[in-house]
Amino acid sequence: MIKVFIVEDDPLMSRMYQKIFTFEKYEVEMASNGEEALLKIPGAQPTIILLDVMMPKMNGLQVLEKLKTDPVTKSIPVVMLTNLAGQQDAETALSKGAVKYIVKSEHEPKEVADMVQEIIAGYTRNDIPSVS
Amino acid sequence: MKISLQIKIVLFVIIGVIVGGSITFYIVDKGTSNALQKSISSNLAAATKQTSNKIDRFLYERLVDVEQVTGREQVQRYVNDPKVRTADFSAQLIRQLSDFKVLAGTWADITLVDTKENVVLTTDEPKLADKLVHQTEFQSPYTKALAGEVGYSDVILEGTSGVPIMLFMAPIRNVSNETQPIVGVLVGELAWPSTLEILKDIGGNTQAQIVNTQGKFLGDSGAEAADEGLILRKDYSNTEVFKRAQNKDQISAILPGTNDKKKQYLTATTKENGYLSYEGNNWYLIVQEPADVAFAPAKALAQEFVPLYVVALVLAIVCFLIINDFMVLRPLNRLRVAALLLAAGDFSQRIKIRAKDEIGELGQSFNNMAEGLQLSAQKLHEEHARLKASINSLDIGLLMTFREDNTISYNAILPRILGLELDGSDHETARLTLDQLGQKLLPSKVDLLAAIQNCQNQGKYFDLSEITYGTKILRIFGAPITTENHTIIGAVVLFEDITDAKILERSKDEFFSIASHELRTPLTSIKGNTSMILDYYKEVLKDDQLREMIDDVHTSAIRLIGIVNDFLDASRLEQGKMSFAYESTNIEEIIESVVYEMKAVLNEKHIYLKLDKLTLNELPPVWVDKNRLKQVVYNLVGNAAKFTEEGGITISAKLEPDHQFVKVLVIDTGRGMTPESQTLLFHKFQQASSSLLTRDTTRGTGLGLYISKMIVENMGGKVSLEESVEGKGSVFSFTLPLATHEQMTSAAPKAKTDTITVTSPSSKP
Repeated sequence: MIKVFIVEDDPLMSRMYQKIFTFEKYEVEMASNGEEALLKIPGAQPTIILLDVMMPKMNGLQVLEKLKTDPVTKSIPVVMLTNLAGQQDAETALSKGAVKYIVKSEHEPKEVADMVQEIIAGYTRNDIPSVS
Repeated sequence: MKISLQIKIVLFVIIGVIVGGSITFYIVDKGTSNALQKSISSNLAAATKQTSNKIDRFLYERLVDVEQVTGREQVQRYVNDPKVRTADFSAQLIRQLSDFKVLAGTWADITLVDTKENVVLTTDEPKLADKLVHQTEFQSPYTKALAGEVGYSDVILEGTSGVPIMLFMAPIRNVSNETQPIVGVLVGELAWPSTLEILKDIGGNTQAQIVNTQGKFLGDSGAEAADEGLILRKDYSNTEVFKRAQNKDQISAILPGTNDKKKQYLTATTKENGYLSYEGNNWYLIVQEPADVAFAPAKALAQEFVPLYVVALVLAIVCFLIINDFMVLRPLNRLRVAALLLAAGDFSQRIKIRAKDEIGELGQSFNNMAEGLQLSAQKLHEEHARLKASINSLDIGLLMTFREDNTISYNAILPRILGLELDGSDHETARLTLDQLGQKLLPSKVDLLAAIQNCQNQGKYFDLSEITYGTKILRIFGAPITTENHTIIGAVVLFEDITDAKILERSKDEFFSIASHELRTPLTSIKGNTSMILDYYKEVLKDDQLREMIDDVHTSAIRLIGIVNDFLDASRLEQGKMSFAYESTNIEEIIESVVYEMKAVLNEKHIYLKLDKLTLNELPPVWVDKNRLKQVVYNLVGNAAKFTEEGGITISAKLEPDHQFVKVLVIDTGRGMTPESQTLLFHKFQQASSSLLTRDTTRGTGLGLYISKMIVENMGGKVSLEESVEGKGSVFSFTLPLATHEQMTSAAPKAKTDTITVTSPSSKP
């Protein structure tokens, strides 16, 4: 079963994404901040990680950096979720190893789920996804 | 050398008067001289005539004398009959003749001669009498006397002493014997010096002289004549006077002549034959008068005239000076004084115009000039006051350097900005120096002095932004002050305290990032959850009303997100904070993708969306940010769709004639716009509706066109309304720059590096 790990500080968002991935029959694990995520992810070994950029304590880009330096987690695809429509943030995230950059307000939850599914499918085919 | 105008004019006047006076004098003198000469000539002529007459009269009297003697019976008897010539008779007769001689007073001697030239009786010594008879001059009058007439000889110079004498001869008749009427001749020896007594009657300084036919001097009116400077000669034969006399010029005057004493003289001569035309009366009378004496009265008159002339001259000069002083010098001086005061800055100076002459005109010109100056000065003062007030009321520190004397000037706020207020004293009195300023700025790593030097010497502007100065952030901007003839006279330096602005700028950035996150997160939740309800709980939502309500909530969330996005886009574009990822792009691809995405929506509205493929083919790539370009196309097509109820939208593109741009046209068959509405296009929040109340119907923030315009302009193009006809539709267009060769070959898209990007989330505290 595909396991999606959602790192999101805002419960409104985390609950919404938890629902859609549950509806879409994914296994979902969650963390409400970066530290918690870094603690849980190595043990959880998710298929894919959805990582919010703007979070207290440690932001998403810092978490991404840590994930990509840890051999245990570095091969797990990371999709950045944000509500900042800054193109440069997207580029920074992609340069640090994220596979996709999704602006939350621009997509319905179902579309996000579809994109994740596409990425997982593509990732197994060793395709390189492009920026949305 | 400075010579006063007054003196110059006086000199000119004096010279003029002297020259004019001299000419007048010359003319008067000449006329006077001529008149005098004529007058004197006639005087001399008269004197000569008179003298001649006197001489003639005298000679006539002497003739009468000798006739009287010859008429005596005793004389006749004595000559006629030698027998009666006794010693007694002879002595008696000699006594009688001597008495006569003394009585008449003019006779030297009387001699009786017979017809054979023998001396019969004489009062003279017999030898001398004999000698006299044999003189050459004796014959002519003797012959005349023998013929029965009275005659006289020329003047003879007798003896060694040369005493001039004259011989008078009268026939002695025989009273008793008719056959021999003339028996002898009486010879009267006239003593010439006594004769000359007549000449003295001419009187005064006039000198009369008698010369003979050879020009030899015979006698004159007096010895004192020589003292009068007259030319007295013993021989006149070669003189002009004598020649004129010979030519029988009755009267001649010679003027001027020079004698030994260099005096002028007048001369008149005459040869008088007159009514006593005795034969052999051959001598000339020369009358002379000294010129200075002759001219003396005229000269005296002239001398009387000279002081009058001088007085007139002085009066004329005085009058002139007074007139000159009042009419020229004083007005000129007033002008000079006024001009000096004017030069000293008193622009209220005006000249009172007293006359409408050249000086009056000069004064008027001066007044006009002064008025012009006063106006300009006043304007300058006002301008200066305005400028000073403006500068002092600025909240920007202003420093001016004056290159020439190396001084500075600054406004009140500058020391406050730099924290240089010394003891709270007035900035006017406590002067800052440039060095102090430079020192003060050194900790901020700003070499202000060097920057100012460079600005003054090279004319270069400098702009030092974000200088950290203590707790403040400053912007220092410098520019050279250049005159019209391109000389740099100093620099103006502005010190702006941008601390507050910087803080505000940062808070704005944070506001936007928070707004974008905090507004969009709940909206995303509403949108996502409603969307999931609609997707996954269809069977629960049996009630159509409920379903519609949830659908409306969903749509509202979408619209709200759009609005938030528009606001954020507009703000970032306004601040130049939107980043652009340029790449060489195929415009057809972009437009096709938009058309593909929008077609379904538009089909629902039953309007077509057509892509004019023909015009899009073969277009060169453009240099744009793909996503932004898409946003623009979405906007324009969406906008066209909003206003179109029937027909549809056509998109076409073409290469601009200059081969620098591609132009994309969005043509709709919508309702079009009135000209008034067209003017409101492309402005913030302006929809092309004439009233605020009608805005709702089109559903939007009105930022679409504004954002599109900003994006296209950022990419180097231009959005325009090509045309719009009410009821027929509108044509919007935008241009995009073609990618250059280098741009086409460069690999990956790059974000514009010169724009500041959205604050990263890491900056969030």
